[in-house]
Amino acid sequence: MKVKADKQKIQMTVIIGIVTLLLVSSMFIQFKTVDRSQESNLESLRSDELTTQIATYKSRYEETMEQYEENRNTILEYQSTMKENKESTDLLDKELNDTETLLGLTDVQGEGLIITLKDTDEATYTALDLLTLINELKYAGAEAISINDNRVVNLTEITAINNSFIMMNSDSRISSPYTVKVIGDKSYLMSTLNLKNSGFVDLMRVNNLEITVEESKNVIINKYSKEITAEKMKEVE
Amino acid sequence: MCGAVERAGGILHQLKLNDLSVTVKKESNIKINKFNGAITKKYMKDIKN
Repeated sequence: MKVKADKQKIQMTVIIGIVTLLLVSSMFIQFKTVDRSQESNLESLRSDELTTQIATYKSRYEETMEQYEENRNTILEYQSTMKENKESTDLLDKELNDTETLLGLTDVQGEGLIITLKDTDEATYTALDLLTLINELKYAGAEAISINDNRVVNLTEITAINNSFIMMNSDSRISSPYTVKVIGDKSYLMSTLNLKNSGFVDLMRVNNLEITVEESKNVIINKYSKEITAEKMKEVE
Repeated sequence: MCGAVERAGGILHQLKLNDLSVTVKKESNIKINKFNGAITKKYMKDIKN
């Protein structure tokens, strides 16, 4: 009886061992299968993600490039506009500068004459003499004139205050000796003033007034320093 | 402006003294044509400060 019981016990142990072995084996197989399946899924998933990401990056790259081109064109347009504006500004500046020069609002230099007029014991220069001289010089093509460093401009008046003083440019008192500077063709100016008998030089000398005329390659004439106003006049539309 | 030429010793007074006829009229809107010639600067140039 005892031998039989031992035999059954051994059989049961062997069976349990085999079953356990089978179970363990199947578990290992199962684990292995799951592992492989997960790796495969992960690889598949990564590949999809990467493809999506690449597509996204490509799309973003294209958008960025479009934006870059747009910005580049805008910058080129700005640069072109700035260049055009600078050219316009330069042109306007030149026109303004030329206008100021012609109006007598800038210091100028150039060839011309320096004329000195002095009263003598016998005679004195009058405002009318100065006006005549200025008129002669303008006629001879003067581009800029000053008397005792007071610039003659288009509205300059020269009028007598009394026997000693002449007034010009509203409030500048001048008196002998008068230094008249003029810029223009010095040969033409000189020949105009020195016309035999009828020229300004001869007319003054006949009247016992002292006059000297000197040619210069570089006469410097100061600008008109007062304000030019246009209170009453306005441009006709 | 009229006062300046009409005053004693003014240009009107002097002209009348010389028996010259002159009339002066006030206007509220004088039109003056522009200068049609050319103003040149062939001989003078700016002194750059």
